[in-house]
Amino acid sequence: MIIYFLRHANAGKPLANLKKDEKRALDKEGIEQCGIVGRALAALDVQVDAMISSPLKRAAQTASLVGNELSYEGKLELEDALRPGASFADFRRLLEKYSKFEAVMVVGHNPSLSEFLGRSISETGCEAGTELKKGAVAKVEMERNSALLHWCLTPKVLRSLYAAAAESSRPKTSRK
Amino acid sequence: MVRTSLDNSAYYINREASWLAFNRRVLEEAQDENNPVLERLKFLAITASNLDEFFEVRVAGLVQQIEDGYTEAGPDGLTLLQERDVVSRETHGFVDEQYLCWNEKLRPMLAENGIRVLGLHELDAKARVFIADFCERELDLLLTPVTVDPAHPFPRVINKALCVAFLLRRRRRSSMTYTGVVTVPRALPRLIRLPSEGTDDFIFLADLVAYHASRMYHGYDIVSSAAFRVTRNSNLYLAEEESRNLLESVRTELHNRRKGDAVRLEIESEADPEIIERLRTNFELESWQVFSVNGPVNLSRLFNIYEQTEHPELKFKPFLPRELRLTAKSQDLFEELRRHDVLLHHPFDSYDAVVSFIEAAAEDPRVLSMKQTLYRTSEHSLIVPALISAASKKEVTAVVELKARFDEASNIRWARDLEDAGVQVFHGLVGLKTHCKLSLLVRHDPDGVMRRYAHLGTGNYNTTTARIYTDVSLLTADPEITGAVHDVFSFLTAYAEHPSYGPLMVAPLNLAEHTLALIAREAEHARHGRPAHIIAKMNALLDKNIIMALYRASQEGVKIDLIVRGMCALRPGVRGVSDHIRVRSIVGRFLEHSRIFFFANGGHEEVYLGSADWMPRNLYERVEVNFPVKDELLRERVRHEILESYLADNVKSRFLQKDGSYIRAWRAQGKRKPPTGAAAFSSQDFLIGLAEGKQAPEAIPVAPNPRSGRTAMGKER
Repeated sequence: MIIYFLRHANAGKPLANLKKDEKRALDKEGIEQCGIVGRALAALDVQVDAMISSPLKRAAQTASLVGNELSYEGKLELEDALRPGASFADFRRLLEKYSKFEAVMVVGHNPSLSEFLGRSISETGCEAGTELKKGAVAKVEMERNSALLHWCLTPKVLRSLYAAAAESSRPKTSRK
Repeated sequence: MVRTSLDNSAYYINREASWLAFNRRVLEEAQDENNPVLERLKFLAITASNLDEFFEVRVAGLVQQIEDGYTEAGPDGLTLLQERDVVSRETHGFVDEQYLCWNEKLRPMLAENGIRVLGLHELDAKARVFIADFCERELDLLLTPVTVDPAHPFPRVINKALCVAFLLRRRRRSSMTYTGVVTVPRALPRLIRLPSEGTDDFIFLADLVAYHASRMYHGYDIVSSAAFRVTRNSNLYLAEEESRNLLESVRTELHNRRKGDAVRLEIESEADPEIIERLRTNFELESWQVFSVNGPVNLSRLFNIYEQTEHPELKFKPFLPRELRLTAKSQDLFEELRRHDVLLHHPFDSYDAVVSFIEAAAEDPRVLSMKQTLYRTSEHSLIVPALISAASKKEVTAVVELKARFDEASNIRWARDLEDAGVQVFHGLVGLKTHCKLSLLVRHDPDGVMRRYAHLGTGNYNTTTARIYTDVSLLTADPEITGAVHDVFSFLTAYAEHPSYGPLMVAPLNLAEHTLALIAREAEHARHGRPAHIIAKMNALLDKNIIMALYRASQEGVKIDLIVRGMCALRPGVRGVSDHIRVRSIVGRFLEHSRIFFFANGGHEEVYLGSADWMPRNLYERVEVNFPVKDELLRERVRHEILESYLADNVKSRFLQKDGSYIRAWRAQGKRKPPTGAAAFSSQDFLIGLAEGKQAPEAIPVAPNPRSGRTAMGKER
């Protein structure tokens, strides 16, 4: 099973009122980041069978924008195990639930998402030092007893990668 | 005798035009006041999803070929550009009719029956509270408003996804307008049910998104908004190889993604022209590819209303399929099959018999091995679980076709489940889709003999569609047939070619050749004054070689009755070419799917059934099997019960005219009004009655003949 860990994109400053903070939306930069990340991932041929997100608005928005760019046609799954306060045990149960899929993308928040990523790839049970920037995405291949981090990319890296590729690509053929 | 050359484009009907004429017949069912209103709605939804597929596959292919500079004309002589013009003209006219049917007919009729689809302005106070809450609670979370300006690329719009476009103006700098786009998440139903008493009320999700949008675009004024939907090329282009590095894969993918080019934009007709133009340019569409529609952008979603409302009085009456009964002497189905073959006509005969054939084999310790082809199987199919449970106890082989269009993903899932369970899974032969419907098992019978049993069919192993498609099944223990089925499996799994598959006809090996020979043999019989008659029922007839053979047979005086549900490139009634050919199409409650081929053969009648239509792709690009019905009683049943009913139909039957149009059977007979009462004969209704024991085969009336002076009936009799 391949898991893409994606942290939600920019969504401005946290709000003191927790209820309101749940509804905090992506800001302009965040929406743009999602477009870049989504297009670059699509260009990397990233395909997911399930798109799973924290139910918080900024995460769900990130998931749906990136999902669109990946041409993901399924429905967006919202899971409490990706909420900010969820535990690693919750996350393991979530993976169990989606284990029949070949590749999934999970969209969540720091610090838990970085923690999940770190603990997923460290065999000893202690946490590997990883940090997902906003909009960053990591590809992890999970097997029964091991997990391998393939790559971890930030929106900045993806942007330049995409620009380099798009530039040298041939123009569209014989269009009208 | 001077023969007219049959290689004349005037003798062939354009394929796309013929397909569109088929969808028009489905629309007729939506317009038909004799159908219950919710069924009419369902027919309308079907025309819409049919048309989606037509654009995704056929139009996409056509546009691609034009771009690639192909100029070749088809058998009908139209160049690709002319064909595109035909498609453009026909589809625009068709879409207008669809919306006319919805707005003028179905929507008001549903409202009369207490099923209302409301607009925002029609909501009462209670419904308004409901939608305000719904937007806040469910919708808001899932919507992401995107603004497009030159600095920001247009977000990717998914194939057939509902979107809403906005024309926005900044409150502060009002000189510039922006485009806003919101993709409506698939997680939500397209029609939202409203709280109501005594009526079933719905509202379109798109209306709610437009309503809620003003709260999402802070700092902007919404000048106008419109729901739209983009259809993309959905032909599958496989990535042949894993690429070696990041950049390379980025590049290939950029290239590949073009293949998902947009082919159609549907947008609400009251949309601001500015929005339409911006979208059209963005999706690189020509103006003919833009369809402005007077109503909801996705009529196929109206099917939700059918599903979400009870109202049995507004739907077809359910019917009881006839269950297979074993004769008293037989202990089980296998013993029955040792005595005689069994023929089933679905959905009138229950499909349970086929499922229990496979289930019984899975459980029966005497059954040593099972082989099965799977093309489109359903989510709730009982066949895959049976194979999975059998795999631990016996040798199980499945040939799974991964490339069944639009089912690719689900087929991959089944294939994996089967493999995990220990089933030997094969994916058929490279470049050839496995379309034949075969199931074979080897059993160590109580009398100590090893025997093969087989099921051969015209339809997929799919319990859902088996209830709505008409298909024929043959269950047999005939060693000749089962032996040949075994050889076909060897061909599929090991590419082991046998010199002969007799008595089966197998594509791409010999099916076309044998079919041509059967038609030629009929012509020979006619020439010598022996009985000659061809009745062929199929989904589509496009193969030029076969059409020419039919023309030749007609010229010899063979009477030819074709029952072609969908596309037909053969032009009937052309003097000196096809005078003796009649083409009917039956479109009704069940999707006609069985392929049946009858040959009078000078008095030694032959009947074949199978998976192959007379289309080039079936004859040359797929593995297909057509098989004979050897049992005389079963042959009689096919000829005098099944085919005769279809020929006698004067309610749902249409005749193809020389000009390519279709008219109802009763109009072809020169009548002014459709038959009523005892004079009306609907084949599908009759077959239901027969299954329920309310009808007798003797009740089939004489087939109607279209009024045409030149259909000389003397020679072939």
